[in-house]
Amino acid sequence: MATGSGAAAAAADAEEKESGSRMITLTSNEGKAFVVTEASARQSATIRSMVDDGGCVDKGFPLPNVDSKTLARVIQYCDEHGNKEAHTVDERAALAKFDKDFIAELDADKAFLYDVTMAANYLHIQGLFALTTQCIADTIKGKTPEEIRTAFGIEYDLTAQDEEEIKEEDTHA
Amino acid sequence: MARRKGKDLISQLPDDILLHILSMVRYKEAVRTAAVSRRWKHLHTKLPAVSFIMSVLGAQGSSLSTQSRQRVDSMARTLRRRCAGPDRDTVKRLSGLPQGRAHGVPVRRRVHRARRRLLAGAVPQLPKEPTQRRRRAVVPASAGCHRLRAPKLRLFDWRCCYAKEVRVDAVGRHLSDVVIELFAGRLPRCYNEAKRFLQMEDCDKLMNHILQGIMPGRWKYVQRNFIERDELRLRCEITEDDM
Repeated sequence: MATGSGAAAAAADAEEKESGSRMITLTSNEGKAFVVTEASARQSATIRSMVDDGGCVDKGFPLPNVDSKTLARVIQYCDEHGNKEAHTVDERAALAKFDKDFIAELDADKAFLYDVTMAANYLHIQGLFALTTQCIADTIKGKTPEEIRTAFGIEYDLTAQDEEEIKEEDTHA
Repeated sequence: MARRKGKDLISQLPDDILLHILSMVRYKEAVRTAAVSRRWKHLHTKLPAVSFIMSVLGAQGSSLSTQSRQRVDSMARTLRRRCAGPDRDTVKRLSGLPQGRAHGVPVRRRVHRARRRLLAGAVPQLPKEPTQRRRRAVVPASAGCHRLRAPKLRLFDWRCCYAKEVRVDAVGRHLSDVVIELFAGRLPRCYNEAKRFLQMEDCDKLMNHILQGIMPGRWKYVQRNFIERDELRLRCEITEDDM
């Protein structure tokens, strides 16, 4: 992520020359601008299609549905996946390790995990969306309804009639 | 993203995301989440990869027993709730689901296997248990499988939205054990709107063709009646020749 500091900007410039790609500005709903490489931004299918359509690359992309904290984290993912090559076994292993650490950190803060999931969905970042939803799915796996309620802090609000219907359906499944 | 209030944040995720999550766990587990809360109760019913298998077991001189009727009724209720439930906007919501693994091939393969067996004249009465286990194995993990055995169940209705295939599978002596499957494949994202639904004509053709093909002469008629203007819902009546 290159958010204006000299070193980061220089690094981004070098990156730009090297890959021949442009820099793209993404703006969070709080108005904070994030400058990323095109390769990084192209991780998002939403932005990719806008760039390919030849639209507002210079003006940047305002993202009214994403806050700064979430966007920073999303860009962290995109940088890792967009800017780095993953051809060798080692490189792929490094990327897999990045994903693992990335999601482990998110998993500890569920609210943030949902925000990132929403952003990944909104920006159509397939890899990130798969990563976060898989993490949530893994939490559901093998749990009883009570355990799921506990894991996600869901309040129990089913009526006796609901229970009855669910039980009936269960016998078919 | 606005910071959402309240503790239960996951339930505030939109349906399509929760459905995507549910599609990643085994179907049985997805169904189990119905008992989590009201928000979750109907979620799994909107999963696109759902397969109903109704089995008709008859021609053994047995009549509809009370127990079977109860199960038929219960099954019908479940089907109705699932397919024509209060959520009329299911179609729209599902259209947002990302593409997942391809389903359907194992089912087709199984139908072919059954057909081969019938053509070979073997028509073996398959042992119940192994059959079920094998079916479990070939039905994709995230597809639901509803099975019902009831003597001479002759009338059923279903709704074929999302269905890529309607399959009729027959095994057993007297060709009486009929499995009718509504196999709904996973929906690709932003797919051609028209392709998403099985056409009525296709459905008719498939149903007639497969039933007649597998069991020539067994069925006096297989007829589809519209029971609603809603073209997604149809009903089939099947009558056996020797009834």
